[in-house]
Amino acid sequence: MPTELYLDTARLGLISPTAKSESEAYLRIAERESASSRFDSMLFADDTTGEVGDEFTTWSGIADLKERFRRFSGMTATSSVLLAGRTKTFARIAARLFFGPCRNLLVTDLGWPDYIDILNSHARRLGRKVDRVALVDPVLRDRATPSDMLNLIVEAYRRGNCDGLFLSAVSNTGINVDVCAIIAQLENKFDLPIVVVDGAQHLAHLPARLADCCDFYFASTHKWLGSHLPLAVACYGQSRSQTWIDATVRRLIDYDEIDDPLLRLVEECRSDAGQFGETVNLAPLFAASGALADAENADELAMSSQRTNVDILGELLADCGWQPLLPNDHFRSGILLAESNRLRGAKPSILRNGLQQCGLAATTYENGLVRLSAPKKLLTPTDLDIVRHAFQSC
Amino acid sequence: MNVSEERPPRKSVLLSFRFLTVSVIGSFAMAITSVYADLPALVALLGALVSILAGLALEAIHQAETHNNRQNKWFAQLQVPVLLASDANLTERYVELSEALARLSKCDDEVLREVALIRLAVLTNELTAISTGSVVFDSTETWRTVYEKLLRADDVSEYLSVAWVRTADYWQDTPGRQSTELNLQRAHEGLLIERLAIVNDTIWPPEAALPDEPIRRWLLDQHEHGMRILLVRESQLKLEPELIVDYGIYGNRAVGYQELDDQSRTKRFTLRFDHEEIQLAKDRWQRLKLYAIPLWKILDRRTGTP
Repeated sequence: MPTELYLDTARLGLISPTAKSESEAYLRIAERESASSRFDSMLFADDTTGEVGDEFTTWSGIADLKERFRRFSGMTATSSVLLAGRTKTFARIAARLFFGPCRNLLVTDLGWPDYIDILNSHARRLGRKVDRVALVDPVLRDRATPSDMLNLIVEAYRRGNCDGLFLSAVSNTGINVDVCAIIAQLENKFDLPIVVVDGAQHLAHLPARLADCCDFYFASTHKWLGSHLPLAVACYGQSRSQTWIDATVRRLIDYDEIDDPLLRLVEECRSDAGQFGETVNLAPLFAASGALADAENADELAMSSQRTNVDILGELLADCGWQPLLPNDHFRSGILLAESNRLRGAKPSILRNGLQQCGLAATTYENGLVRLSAPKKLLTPTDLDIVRHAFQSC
Repeated sequence: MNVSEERPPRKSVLLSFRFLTVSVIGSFAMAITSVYADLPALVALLGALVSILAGLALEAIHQAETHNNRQNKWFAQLQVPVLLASDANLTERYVELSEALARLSKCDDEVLREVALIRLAVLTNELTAISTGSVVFDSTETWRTVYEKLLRADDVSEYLSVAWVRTADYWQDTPGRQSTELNLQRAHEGLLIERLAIVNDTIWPPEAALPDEPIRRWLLDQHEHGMRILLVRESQLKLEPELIVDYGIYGNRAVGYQELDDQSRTKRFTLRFDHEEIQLAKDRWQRLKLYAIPLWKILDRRTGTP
């Protein structure tokens, strides 16, 4: 059955209107220009004729896109922005940053497993350590408070004699972490030369500007921002670490230790060195530019609508015999988890297909767990009927 | 081959020519004496002969003991080449030295022998120090070759360094720059390098956030390569002057002490491959760290931008 209500944004968001129109404009230009010199001029915004770029409504070159991301993240004017083909590239850069000065890194079980694997493998190779503190169960099952979470992190940091921190601003399970408060506490008490924050579920989902309280913040544009085409963005601008990160990225590119053609192209821009590198898919840049324009113009009430949607969905699912996993208010985000004891043994793919049969797109996990990503406009009665019908039918 | 087959068959002492000759002549002499001498003279002569025999026996025993001891010592020295046999490099050097000494033993020139003995004494002292895990480099920068080997050693995953920066020339000459470059390269390759700089107040005045150039740039370069940099003003350590030492701890392999002259050129570099010494250096490092501030905290705009 076709999707009538899409609540799977935490995996891949619906494409935003301007992202779609900018992608279409890119394809029209590709039909004429492909990789011509005029296209290059448009890409880097040094098009003197102005003809090629007329198709776009938001695109003004790579430098402009980076500048808009900087402003959107709330970073200072001197901060740096990186664009890459995938977020794993930034996880690898984070690993290189951590395992310069850090002996023992602290991570949480809110972190995306792929990123944690990258950090672990890097630490193992260099004989360093990664300590992991469990937060999911205390937050989702025991309804821990922010103060409980802080104590758990501080205690783990102290116990492990840690000297680096990797946090997820919002976990894939929807737990919204007050990273700035945690960083401030740890910086006061311990040696904390570097903090990296994964904002993959955070960018354009929650309003807090986090990039300014950590050393390296990275996110993706294809989830909550709505570019649909995968693009990773990273921001950094702390006076203590900016030149260090600049130099590290530069070295990784120079020594060919980072396999990300988009990052290489963007960083090398039009230098002769980068002109004949690997062919790069540029479409995500234009889609991200359009999606960012929509996010920049987004209604400020959207966040409260999203929060209302989560509350409504929680009550509705409870009425349908499901158990919504609602953490303490401070940890809530636009993501809602719910589970059904009755479906504990169901395969995630069967459960997902079952919901799809009723027109609902959602994320499903093992043990009968379902994740709903609330939209930013209020759910209509029709939307709620779809949800009710889908969950009653399962 | 049976060893006993090589030995000549042992003859009875009673059939020995020496024994029989001495016994027959002695007995004959005593028989003649007993015919012509009276009894007291005969007893006195016998007493003297017995005493002489006892003295000879004791002396023979003493000489045999001395001979045995000397022989045992030679046997012990003969074991050295056997011990070295498993190490081809050392065996080669041992043979070369032995041959040189053998040539010297045949040398008649007294002056040459004297010079050789003086030089040998110096060499022996140095070799003895090295064999106990201590290597000294005097007035030379060649220590940096060993330093590089240590920083590249597979089992050295951490390098703790205390840089006593008394002048702005510290590690700014060509060998120093090359060593810094090696540090940066190894840091990029994953070696954890933590450098604690004890900076003289003339280079890092109390009102300044960071030391003056070029030390400032030298420290920032290292920070920007992911090295962990800590700073302390020399004046802060006036109550614990024993902490003001320039040294490096290379994992659990060795500790190196650097002594510099007024122009920050190496006067002496001593490497100690000694676990007790490494532990002492680590303890001193921990005490020193209590006074130091990490560079990241100084650079952090929330705690004060330089």
